[in-house]
Amino acid sequence: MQLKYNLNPASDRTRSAQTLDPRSDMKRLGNHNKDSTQRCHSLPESISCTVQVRSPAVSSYKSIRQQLTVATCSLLTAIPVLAIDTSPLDISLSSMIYSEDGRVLVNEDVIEVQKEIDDDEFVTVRYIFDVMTGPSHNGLPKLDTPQTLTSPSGSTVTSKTSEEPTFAFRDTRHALNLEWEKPITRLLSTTNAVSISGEYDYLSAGGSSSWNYDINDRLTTLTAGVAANYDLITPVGGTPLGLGSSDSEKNLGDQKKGELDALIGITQVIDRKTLLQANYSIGYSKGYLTDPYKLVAYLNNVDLVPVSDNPYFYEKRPNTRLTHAFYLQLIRDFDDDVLRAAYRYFIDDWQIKSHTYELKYSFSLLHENELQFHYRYYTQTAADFYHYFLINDARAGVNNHDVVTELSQLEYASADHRLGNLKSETIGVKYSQRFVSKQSKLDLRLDRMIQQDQKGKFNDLKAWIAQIVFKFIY
Amino acid sequence: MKKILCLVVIIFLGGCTITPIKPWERDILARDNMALDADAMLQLMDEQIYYSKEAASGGKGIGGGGCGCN
Repeated sequence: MQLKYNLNPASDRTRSAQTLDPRSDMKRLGNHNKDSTQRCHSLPESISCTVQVRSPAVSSYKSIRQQLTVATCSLLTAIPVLAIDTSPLDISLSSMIYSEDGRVLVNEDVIEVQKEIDDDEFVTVRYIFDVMTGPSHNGLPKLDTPQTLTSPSGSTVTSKTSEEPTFAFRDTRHALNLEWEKPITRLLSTTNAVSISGEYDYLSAGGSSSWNYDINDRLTTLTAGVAANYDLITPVGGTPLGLGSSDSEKNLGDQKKGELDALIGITQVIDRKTLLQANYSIGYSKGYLTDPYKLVAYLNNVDLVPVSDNPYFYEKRPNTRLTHAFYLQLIRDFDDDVLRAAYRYFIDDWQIKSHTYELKYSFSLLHENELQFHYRYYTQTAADFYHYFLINDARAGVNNHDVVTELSQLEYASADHRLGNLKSETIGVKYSQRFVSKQSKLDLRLDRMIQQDQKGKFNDLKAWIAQIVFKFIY
Repeated sequence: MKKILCLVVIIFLGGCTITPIKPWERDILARDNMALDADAMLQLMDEQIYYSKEAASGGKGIGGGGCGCN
């Protein structure tokens, strides 16, 4: 799977600086200053000559003036050296804890270093290290009887009555991202990136290229980008046969998948206090899109207990997926406070439709510190092959969609809750502290996320998200 | 809640008319907290969490890395 965490090119801080606001003008001014100081290399001689010509007879002042001239010129010549050689590093350090109640615990640490290698040209390197551990739901429903299963690592696990079965896992992830932003002309810029990441059972490599073009006196930015990703999946214990019994041998070997994405967008300055961003993205995935660790239960329609033969089988998803996403973001200033409102509509050919609403309001405090409140609301419809469980004949209260008299009738099936009828809410708060020099900033945030089944079948997933970010210039 | 959020967006959009501004009037838009990707590192984490817990993703941008995301 591909993480969309490379932000819209138009949203990048350096590009937005070029395109949307006076920071670009400030940067250009800064560069002009740099040019001026560079030209100062030639000043000492001319100043020195001028001094000697204009005051040849005033010998008593000559030495003083010469000394002042030398001192001045020394300072002037020192400045460009500083300006050229001390291009600082923008460094961001982040540590995040994601903790589900009774389930998965993730610690993710990030270090990001950015350097301006030329005027408005930046290179960014980001390294991410994750540690993931804890029990993860395996797709089976909570039943009135204990369920005994074999985990991917080969151990036997028995779930408690009326408890969703889980498999415990532990994994680490290393990810490296290299990004290069470069202005092509005054109005056109590009960002190119490559990334690679590895887990115990997963390898991923990808690249992206995006372009920004300013029009309308730089009040409008047009964006276009493409990205490609290639993943190699090596499930623990081997790859199971899709829709095969959980007891069957897992001997399908390594799997792979590819993904292509494209994005077009527009960012518009509405007025002095308002920005509007609109994007459309399309994605196409092909290959092994199944989760090799998820199971589906096949139950008896009489008493909703596993049928005697082949009670559990591995899920199987289509091997292609086409997605569309429409994204809209509005940013508005209210006397130094800032409101952000965003909406996304998502649809794919698995019949998943999703709406995401997000609101953030930042209160401006003394010394440019900030307190932000955040709310996110997300809904999705289920994939057409999603089943909470399957039963072997019709039963009152169970949707006909979940009735399968013969498993061989199935083409695809998954009980992964992430493909179900989800509703998710997140509420959070963030505090930002700037330090005296304003060269560094500390962000602290705490979010609470609650994910629910809109049909009320599976248990709520509740999680805390805590993160600390420290940015400074070195 | 969904209706309220929709209403907020519509009110803002309905009340907006594009007003050309001059470079020297971009002081507010120049602030860090007005940037499209303010809090990029927080967004980075959010994207990864929601990507691994929900079926929908994308829209904000493209590219990035991959994950098994159990």
